[in-house]
Amino acid sequence: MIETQNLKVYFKSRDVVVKAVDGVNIKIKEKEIVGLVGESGSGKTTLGRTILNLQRPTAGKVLWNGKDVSKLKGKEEKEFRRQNQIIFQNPYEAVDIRMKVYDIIAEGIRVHKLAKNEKEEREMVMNALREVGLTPEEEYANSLPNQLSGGQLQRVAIARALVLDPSFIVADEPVSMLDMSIRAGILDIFQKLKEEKGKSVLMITHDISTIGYIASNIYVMYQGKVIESGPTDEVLDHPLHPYTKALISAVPLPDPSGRSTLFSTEVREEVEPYNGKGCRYYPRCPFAMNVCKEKEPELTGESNDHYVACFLY
Amino acid sequence: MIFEESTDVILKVDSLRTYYKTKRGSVKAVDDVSLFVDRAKVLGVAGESGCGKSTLVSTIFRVLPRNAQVVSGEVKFKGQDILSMDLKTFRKTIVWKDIAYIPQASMDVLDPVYKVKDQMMETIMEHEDVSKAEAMERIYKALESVGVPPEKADMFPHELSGGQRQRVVIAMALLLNPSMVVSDEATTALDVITQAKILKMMKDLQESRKFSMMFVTHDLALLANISDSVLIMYAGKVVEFGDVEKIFRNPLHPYTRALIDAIPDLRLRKKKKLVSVPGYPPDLENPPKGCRFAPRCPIAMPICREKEPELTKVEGFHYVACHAVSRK
Repeated sequence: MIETQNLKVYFKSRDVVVKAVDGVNIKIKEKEIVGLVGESGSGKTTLGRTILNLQRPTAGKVLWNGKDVSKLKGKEEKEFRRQNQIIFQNPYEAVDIRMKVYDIIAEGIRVHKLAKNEKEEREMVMNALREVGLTPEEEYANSLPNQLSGGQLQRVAIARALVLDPSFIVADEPVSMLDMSIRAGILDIFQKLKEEKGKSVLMITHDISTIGYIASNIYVMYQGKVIESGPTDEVLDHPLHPYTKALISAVPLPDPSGRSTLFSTEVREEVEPYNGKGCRYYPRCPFAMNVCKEKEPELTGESNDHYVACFLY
Repeated sequence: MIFEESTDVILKVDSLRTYYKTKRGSVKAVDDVSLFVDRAKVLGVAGESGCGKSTLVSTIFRVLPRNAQVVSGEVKFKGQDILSMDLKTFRKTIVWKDIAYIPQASMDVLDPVYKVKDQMMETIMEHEDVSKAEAMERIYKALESVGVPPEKADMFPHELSGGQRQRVVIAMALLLNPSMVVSDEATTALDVITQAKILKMMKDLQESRKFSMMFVTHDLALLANISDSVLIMYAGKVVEFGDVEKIFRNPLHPYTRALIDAIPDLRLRKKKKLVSVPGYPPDLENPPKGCRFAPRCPIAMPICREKEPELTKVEGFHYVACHAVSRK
């Protein structure tokens, strides 16, 4: 449904070129939750924004049902905007705090003229609120954002996206601002959207553990490149890239007897700056070889749709 | 409240109540909290946002906002009542020197217009009578101990990465060799790998220098990895307190159990579904009658809506405030 082809997004700041996204190919099919994992600065957010045509690519393209999204115009562009929605990490920044919840959600309906009359608009808003578990919906509709908790407001942000009946949603760190105790509830909403409504979701996160519960495919990004990808079970049960392994071992386990595993994370301190030609991970990689400094590894297939960019394989 | 399990206490909080005054009444942010931290041990404090954990920390450091008030109870640090102490003496002789603070947002403590070394210098000069050269020596040593290269001392905070800034803040906290450190969500804003590395570093430093630590977080999984004892707070109250092994192997309070079930565990992801705690924490201006968790509790009984459960000892170092447990 959505596909990127050798997508590149570079930012220029004075003489420095930052390669935020550097030749990324990812694919999201219908009724699928795809996880995009990486640390801050890996380019995952830029990738998400470029997919939604909120950022122009430097090279390569994003295809939406076969069409190049940067070339969409008029009606088609508007339809693309309706069908593809984004949910941000910080709901306090994503909504206008002076507006009532009702108007926050109804705004999109009005922009896209989706309701014939006020009654229909009201019905759509209330449905969306119920769908994200904000009941009694009348009460929530009349409240202001500052009367809600972070988790409730994130649900409002999700409702705002859902009311437009999108087919694809980019969720950029939708739970990382929230308490552990309510994260599962938000993840459940996405799971239901996929299963009951057939929506597709690209879930962007720095936390590989939550994605393991809901994504069917995972892409791991490091400094603008996809360094490993594959079906969730493959990637999590048999991680190949040293960076993916580190990401997995760094997840704290709720088990006092597992103390040793958290502290075994094998990552070196960056001893030398990246030389501009080798594998981007070599300065931190405990297994770095000479070849890693000379040449960048390509993403190659290992088995069962499992790809890795590493000279160890 | 007296805890028999405390053998070599350094910090003791007894029946503390800190309320915020509002137009309509008061918000009972910390409501009858008792706890202890022993020497060279780590106490983990966990709970959702709004459970009162940050108010607890602010009370200990006496940095409460103006509308907050300690209604009753006391905080004893090395036997001294630090709440009734003269504020100037407290700031000069205890804060940083003997009990230091590591906050979540390192940018908030690091002044953006000062170089790293100048801020650290100020911390030393403020409390101790040493020469500048001696202080500088200590700064480099402190930075080295947290894995920050010495040349970073000449940099401004914004020139450092998030992980390095957090390391600098930890170095500052340890600069005067305090016997206790309080960390409030110190690793929350960091990437997972950086978080794991900084946690390991904090644990190593704690073990080698033998200081006590109170580690406050909303992420219970972290506590399994670094603490000796764990305290679970809910809506201003302590609901469970005990040895780390007991809390994780045999959680008794339904809230603790729910928190543990909400932690993603990659090993169990195919067997165990993630469960969230239904509902939201109560309004602390008008907390529900009886147990504050009752409205969200899956096993609430009629008595839970009537009477507040007291923190009672179960077995060994394990306390819980739940009617369902004391019934058994």
